[in-house]
Amino acid sequence: MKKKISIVICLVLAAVTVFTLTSCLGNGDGDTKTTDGSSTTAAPVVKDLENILANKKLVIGITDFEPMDYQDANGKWIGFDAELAEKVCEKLGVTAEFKLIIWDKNIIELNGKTIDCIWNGFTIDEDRAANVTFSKEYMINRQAIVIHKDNAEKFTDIASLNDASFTAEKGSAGEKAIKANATLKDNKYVGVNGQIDALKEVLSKTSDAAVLDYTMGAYLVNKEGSDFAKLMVLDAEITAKEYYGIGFRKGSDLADKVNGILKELEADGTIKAIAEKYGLADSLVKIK
Amino acid sequence: MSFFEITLILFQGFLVTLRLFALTLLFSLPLGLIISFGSMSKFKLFSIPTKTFVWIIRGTPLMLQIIVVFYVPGMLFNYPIFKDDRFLAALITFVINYAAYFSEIYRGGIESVPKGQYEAGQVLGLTKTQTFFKVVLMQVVKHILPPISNEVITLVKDTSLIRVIAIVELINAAERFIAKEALLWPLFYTGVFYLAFCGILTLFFNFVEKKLDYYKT
Amino acid sequence: MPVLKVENLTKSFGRTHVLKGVSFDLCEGEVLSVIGSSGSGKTTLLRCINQLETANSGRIIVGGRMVFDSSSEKKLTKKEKRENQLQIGLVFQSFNLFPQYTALDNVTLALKSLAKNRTDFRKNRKQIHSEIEDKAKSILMRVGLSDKFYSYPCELSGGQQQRVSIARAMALEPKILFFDEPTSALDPELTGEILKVIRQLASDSMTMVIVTHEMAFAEAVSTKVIFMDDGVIESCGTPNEVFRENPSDRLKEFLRKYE
Repeated sequence: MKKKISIVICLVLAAVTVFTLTSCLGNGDGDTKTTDGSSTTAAPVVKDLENILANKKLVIGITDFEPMDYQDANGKWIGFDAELAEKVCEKLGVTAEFKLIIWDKNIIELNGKTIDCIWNGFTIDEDRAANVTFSKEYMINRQAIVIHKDNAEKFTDIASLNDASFTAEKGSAGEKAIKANATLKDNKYVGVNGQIDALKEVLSKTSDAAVLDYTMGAYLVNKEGSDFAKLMVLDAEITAKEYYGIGFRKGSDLADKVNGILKELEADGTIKAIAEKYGLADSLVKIK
Repeated sequence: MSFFEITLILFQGFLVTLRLFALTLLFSLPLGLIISFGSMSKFKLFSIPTKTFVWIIRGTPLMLQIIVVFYVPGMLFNYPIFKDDRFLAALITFVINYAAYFSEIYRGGIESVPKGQYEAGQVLGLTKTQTFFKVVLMQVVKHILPPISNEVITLVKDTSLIRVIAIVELINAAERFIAKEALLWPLFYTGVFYLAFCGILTLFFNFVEKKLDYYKT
Repeated sequence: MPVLKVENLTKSFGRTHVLKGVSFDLCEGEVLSVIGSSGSGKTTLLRCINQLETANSGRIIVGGRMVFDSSSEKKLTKKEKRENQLQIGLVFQSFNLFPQYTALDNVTLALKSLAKNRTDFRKNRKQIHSEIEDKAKSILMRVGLSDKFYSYPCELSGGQQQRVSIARAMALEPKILFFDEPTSALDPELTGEILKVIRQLASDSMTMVIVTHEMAFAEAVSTKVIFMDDGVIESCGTPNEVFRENPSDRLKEFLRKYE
């Protein structure tokens, strides 16, 4: 009898633990339904600004993503996003602290408050907007299709990919692009953990084509000495234009503040100068 | 980038792996003993919570535990304790996880010592503590060495799990070469590090087992 | 004044009454053999006297010290309990030697631990240890193991192991030495060497209590025999009285199995 009671107690404890955890971790999902799409103003204001000014640092979640965020020989973070972030932090009067994160956990990092923003060629889309407050868009992005060079003759445009198997990072803009494409949406598809994993799939021929950020895809495929040199970016457009923005905690008061600073930096030519340095001047968009 | 440079950078990641490995053992081996006393306790007040704790720790994936320890303080209590020290979150998780596993190994080892050994200690006028340290402990060590060495070697490879919270250990260091230099081979090259280290550990445990081979129970 | 006095001892495990009121005395220099079929309570009796089990009721007095008294409210401290226990040496059926120690270390372990309580231990540590080792060696020689000081139990035969275990019990100079079926775990050809040691101890007037199934040996070596049956002392007396003069029906039945 006593044994039975202790088993029941154990089960109840476990259930309570799981319930508490899911209910807090799932907060983001809960918001999705209420604020889906249109109204982003419904979320309560999160007072991040005060904290960040008090701690005198802004913790920025990034990954290795040339030319947006990458390290120079001395380990200093450089790239378009990194330099822009430094300038913004200068104006805020705080130091920029770059934290390497695992990309598919970016929103968990934000909600866990282990980072203050995601600033790493972060494509703005509606689903993400349910969990994240975006800054104004500052740069154009598009999704690229990457295939194996062995298949260069077979796959020449979207129509020729009719029977191809696809891969992309789970929850990425690339995945959405595949699902939104009339020709490709019913193709065989596997979602992987990162954009690089998608490239590995194509390299090992376990998938025919990967869809990922053009910036990253083109860089990795074309870099000298690349292990991905056997891959190529297909000259075909899968989606309309997309934009990069900075991701803040849902409802963060930091977003407005940073938007203001971005406008100032646009006006005095700082943004343009950084973009030119990394060959991205053509991708800049006017900050609204 | 030369082979040498890449080896050097991977080695820096490997140092993080080693640090986690060493500190985890340092804290979890003694902690495991305390937990095993808890789960062997005659008092239900101690034994039931301890057993439940061990069940939870052994019954959930280590990767999930790392994620929970690292993210939940900020999400749930608005207090991101590990914001500036991800390694600490990983270390705490590993110490707790491995202590739970070690506690069960200890328990098995302690319970495998025949009752007669305790009674012999008792009739010879030894205190319980003296009996444990002078009579039982060495026999336990001999019993538990094979399962402990197994667990220790598993630990070497489990350290790679901490990359889920973006700590640059060996595997993550190699993965960064893919993103930065578009090089895949460093990832496979990490296997050499793990193999070499586990090889050294295997030799070490063989040596210790041989040292304890002078008697049989 | 008896060195051991047991009064009305009872012990039950759950609903099984193993000892149903056992009383007897033992004087210094006496050798008592306890016989009886398995399950009659012989071993439990020994373990209760030695405090390995706690009896339910009754009194036990060893060497003039009250070791157990169910009517007394006063609880013995752990230290008192240990001191009481040290008055009795116990030789187990399954030896229970410490496998990681040599024969010599098995004998010296308890002595060395006890020596730590001596006030001059720190100062004379080396000397004390060498005295203890000399003493242990002489005891091992007495049981005929002069060439096995540095052997591990796993390197010894069963008979040799049991002799080490006798030496280990003797080293503490107990008032009484208990043997719990000391030859039951041994091959028949090895029992002789153990019986020889016990016989020799008897001739040195060591007070002993021996639980045994060796009837001929019990008759030859003992000054007193107790036949236990179903938790009570069925008959008690000199070997001659118990075995020859007036054996009860139960005892006759029991002895028939050993013929």
